[in-house]
Parts: sequence; structure tokens; C-alpha cells
Amino acid sequence: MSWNQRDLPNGFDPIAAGPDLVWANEDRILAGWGVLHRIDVSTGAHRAADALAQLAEVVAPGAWKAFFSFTFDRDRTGSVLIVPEMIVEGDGVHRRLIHHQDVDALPDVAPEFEVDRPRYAGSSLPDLLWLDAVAEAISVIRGGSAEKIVLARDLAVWSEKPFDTRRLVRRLRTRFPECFTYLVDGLVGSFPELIARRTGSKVESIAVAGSAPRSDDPQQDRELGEDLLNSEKDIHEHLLAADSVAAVLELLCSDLDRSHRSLLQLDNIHHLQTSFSGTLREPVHLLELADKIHPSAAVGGTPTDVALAEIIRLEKMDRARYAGPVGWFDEDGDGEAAIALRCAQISGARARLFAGTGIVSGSLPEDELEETRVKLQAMMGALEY
Amino acid sequence: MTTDPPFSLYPEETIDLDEMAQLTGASPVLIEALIRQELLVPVEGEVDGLPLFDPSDAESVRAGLALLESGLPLGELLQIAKEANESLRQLADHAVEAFNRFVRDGVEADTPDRNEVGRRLDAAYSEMLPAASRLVGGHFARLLIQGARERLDSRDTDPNLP
Repeated sequence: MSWNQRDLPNGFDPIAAGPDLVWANEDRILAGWGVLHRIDVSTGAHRAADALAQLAEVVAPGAWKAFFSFTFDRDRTGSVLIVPEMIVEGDGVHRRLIHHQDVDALPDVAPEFEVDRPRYAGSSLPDLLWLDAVAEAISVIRGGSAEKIVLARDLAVWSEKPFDTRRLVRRLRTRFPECFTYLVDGLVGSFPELIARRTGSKVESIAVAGSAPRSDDPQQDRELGEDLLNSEKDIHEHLLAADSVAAVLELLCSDLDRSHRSLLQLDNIHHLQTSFSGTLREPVHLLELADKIHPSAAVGGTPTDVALAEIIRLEKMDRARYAGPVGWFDEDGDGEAAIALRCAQISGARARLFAGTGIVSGSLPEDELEETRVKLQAMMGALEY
Repeated sequence: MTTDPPFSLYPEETIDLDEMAQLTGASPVLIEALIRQELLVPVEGEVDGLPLFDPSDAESVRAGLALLESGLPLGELLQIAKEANESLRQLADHAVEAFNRFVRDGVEADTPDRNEVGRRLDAAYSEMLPAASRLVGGHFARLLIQGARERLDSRDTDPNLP
């Protein structure tokens, strides 16, 4: 079995052909069709290694790429790893088709189909009870058991017609060009937080935590950004997330550079970010790297075990693959992984949207509720026809 | 629709946070959030560092809960309430200014007797506050009905509108 490659016309739009798998940011686009191999990943602490071992048994050497999306909770099923039959990859302009020898027809551009607006269908935990959950988390933190607990909530939406993931991917890429836009097994989203990028022995990571809304008024928007940069509460929340990433990378890297904290401005929200780059002491596969860093304090909390227990107790919902690692890798173990945040799980004409927020001692329940409402609006906006 | 506010400037009785929670069914967490958002205004004074309320405010809290029980998410209600609060505060400031300039000044021009001034201003307040509340509340209700009707009519031409 072998893999073949050929160039495609510059500017070829793979999204128009309705891919089943997507990974895209400003520098790269990967789109996949068909399923050559699908691994339903096991649970537990070694799920990444187990998945790679299973993959090695079935995949032949070649220029293949694998897409993955793991559950937030290691003990829950639902993680997937998929090697598509065909991939289009490229940078801003150039496009290359990589296909398994048995498949050599690029999918036709699928016609756009009629869609309907997303319609509200409720949440696993009503807002009112989620507010109480946040207050309880604050109480736990002020009691000294934890420093940070990330609580998320979901929003179920339905439509009279199936959601069009192509449209969604296109909208997210347009609205959030600086983010990683992904589509894996129906989970679609766009977020700037890079858990890890591995290129040979080089590893990079970006920690994103701490948020503030944006304003259409430039002066007010500048002030909101400056307030965030100086907000003790958000700086505290961010440092916990960045330090949790640093703690893992310092063990794996012979050298590690950490940037100063800076403002990341997305279309509808400000974030705080810290970047890392280092050199791995020993080879570590991208998938294992991502799962070692997961869950960072940006999606779990500090200390991790206490935060995870409180999440289970207070959220009253299954996060499934929300806030888990999502990304791609190649035969050499290089690749990229982001955190599946600002996303929706699409299933035909139904979707489940997610948003979360980091609770620290200075949090106010109503502010955290508002933060999640703003985040959910990003996905609702993308789903609007 | 009744829009007479039972509020008084100096309520004879007050209730504390726990009593407000029991009277309304709202959690103390929600009540505290409403205070911070300035959507529920405690009266002057406190007991053991906790706020006190006019018992008549319980009706407003129950009204908010009724909206939630009908399906409106809390996050949306808080956002709408915040917008309403910002608009109504400006309106209230303007109304108070108008009262001072045109009613109080007029009464004070009419008589030097401070007791008579006080009695007449109390009487004016007792008439004007419920009248203003009826005007604002009634107008808002009318705008809601008009807006809903226009949206229903628009759906005849565009069924995809919410």
C-alpha cells in the first residue's frame, strides 16, 4: 500500500468539497476525506500511547496525516483518531493532494444546501443553577482547597435543517483567522490556544486564559484591553494556566523560553496569552505531548485533581470532547494540537455548544455567567445562516 | 395591568437577605448578584453587614423569576435588565431634575411655610410616583406588544426570523 501526491491549482478551496476533517489557521490548511483507519481510543492515563500502538498495527508508511480529538475526561470513551483516505494540505496559496493509492478522485464541490437558523433548546444545567455552581466553586476556592476551577456549560440548539459544517468552518476561519479552526468527527470550533506544536525536536505551546469582552468603540476597546492586562483576578487565572503548561514542558525540554504575558485580541473577546518554545530532551510524539499537557489549568484548574473532582460534582454534564486535545500528526510524530474550546458538537440538525470560564477567588458568579454567554455567542453567530 | 409601585422612600419594615430569599424562592447567590448589578437596591442600613430590603421589592424579584421559569435564560435576562437599568437611570435622573425644578421650586415659590412645603411635596410625590410608573410601565408593555406583532407580521414574509 502506498500514498501518492500531486499538486493542485493554487488557491484551490478544499472546504468547498465538504471535507470530513479540517485543521486550519493562518499558515496551514489540512482537509481530509473518507476514513482509511479509525481508532476508537481507549480510556486511561495511557490512551495516547495505546492509540499510537493500535495505529502502528494498521497504517502503512507514507505521507499520511492523522486527525484526533480526545475527550476531556481520560476515563470517558469517545476519543477518536482518524486517518483519512485523502488529504489536501497547503499554506496560503499552494495546495497539494495526498491520497491513498486506492483513492484518486478529489471529491466534487458539494452544492450549498438550504439551512435554517439555530434554535435554542436548553442547557444541561439551567443558568440559575450554574450561577449557584459558580458560587459553590468560589466557596471551595476561598476555603483553601483550590486556587482555580474551570466550570463550563453547554447550550443545545436545533434547526429545521442539518447544519452545514462547511459554512461553519468558513465562517469561523473568516471571523477568527488567528485561531486554529478544526473539524473532527462532528466537533467543530476555533480557538487560539495551542497545546503543542512539534517540529522535530522543537516544541511550542501557547497558554490562553483570562478574558474580557471587546467594544465597538475604539477608545473603550483599548481600555477594556488595558484593564485586562492589569486585572489581578485575570492575571492570577492566567498565571495558573501558563505555569501548569510550563511545569510539564520543563520536565520534557532541555531548554524552554517563556514569553511575557500579552494581550490576544480576537473578534469578540480579549484574552491573555503566554507563549513557550523549547527543545525536547528525547523524542515525544505530538499525541503523547498533547495528552501530557492536558488538562492544563486553562481547562481544569489548580490543583488538577481537586479541580477535576469539583468539575464532576458541580457541572452536572459530560464535557465529551469539549476542552480535550484536538489536532493532527504525521508519520514522524510531528503535528499540532489545540484545545477544543469555543466549539460545537454537530449531529445533523442538532448541535451542542460549549463555553467555560476559570473561577478564582476574586470571581463573581454573574460575571462568569456573562463571560460564558459572550463565548457562546461566537458559536451561535457562526451557526446563524 | 397594574403598575402602581408600592415603594416608599422610607419603608416602615425591612427584610434581610435570608427573608428575601424565603419570600421569593431566589437563592442568596442570585440576590447578591442582583445587588451588585444594581438591579436590586437595598435600603439604607444593614444588619451584621448584610443588606436590608423593602419587602415590596420581593414582588420584583418574583417577577424576574417568573420570566426565568417561562424559559428565558438568566444570562439573557441579566443582559436585558442591565440595558434597561442604564436607560431607566438616565430617565430617573431627568425625572428627578424635572420634579425639583418645576414642582419643588414651584411649591417653594408659593409659600414660605416649610411645613406646608413638606406637606404639598409629599402629596405631589404620592401622585406623581405611581403616575410616572404607570406611564413608563404601560408604555413599555405597549412597545413589547407592538414589537411582537411586527415580528409576527414579518415572519409571514421571512419564516426564518426568530
